[in-house]
Amino acid sequence: MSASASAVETLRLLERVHGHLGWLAAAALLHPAIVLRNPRRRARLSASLATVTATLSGGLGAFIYPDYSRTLRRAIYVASTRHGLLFERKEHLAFAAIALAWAGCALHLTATREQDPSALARARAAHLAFVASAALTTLVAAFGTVIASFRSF
Amino acid sequence: MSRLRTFAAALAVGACTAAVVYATSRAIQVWLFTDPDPRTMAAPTRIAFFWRAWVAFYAGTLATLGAYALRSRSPEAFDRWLPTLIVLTAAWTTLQGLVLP
Repeated sequence: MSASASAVETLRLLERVHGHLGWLAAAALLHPAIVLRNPRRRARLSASLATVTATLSGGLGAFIYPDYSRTLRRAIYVASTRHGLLFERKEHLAFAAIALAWAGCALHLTATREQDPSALARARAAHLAFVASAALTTLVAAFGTVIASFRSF
Repeated sequence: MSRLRTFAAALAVGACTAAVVYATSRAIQVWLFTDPDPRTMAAPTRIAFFWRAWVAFYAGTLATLGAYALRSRSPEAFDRWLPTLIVLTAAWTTLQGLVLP
């Protein structure tokens, strides 16, 4: 196998791992999004793991982004502008999804069991952040699957 | 614990700021500075995504520092606004991502 063929194989593998991690993050973020409806509920491990998974997936996406930009972006746009724009949507929504997961995680990890309005507002904010992050991550994972099944490395 | 809670709330505001700055910078780019047609570009010399992400990270860091100072003064009033901030951030970033890619 030549060096460039090996590099393409590696990129293809990383792309697959990125996609699977993305769906895993979508599933993992659903858990805090559901259980934190109750402001007194604690799900620290779940919130942390979901945020880490989403961040890892995003980090891996950023790692292969330069190669996508150099070798794949133009080919996708030439074949279908709609799919090219879908990828743009995916990258913007992914940034927001990860930022919101971090916001929710930070608020939840320092939550208290007090029932004062301040603590309730923070718990509500953490829940909303995870709901938004889970919804956006699911959308991003779905977009990514559509694009990857259309054109890949 | 109080300081840690203040830092966490500030970090949440910083994360929201980063997301909003990212979305706003992209929206401005779409409105005012039309991208070259990707079909005609051989290989980009700069990757706009990284620049936007870097600027957003910088703005988020500054917002974290400002939010820390603000929450130290009035924790209750600060915390009351957090759910609204999350909703506005989610709404604007989703709108930008879907409508102004």
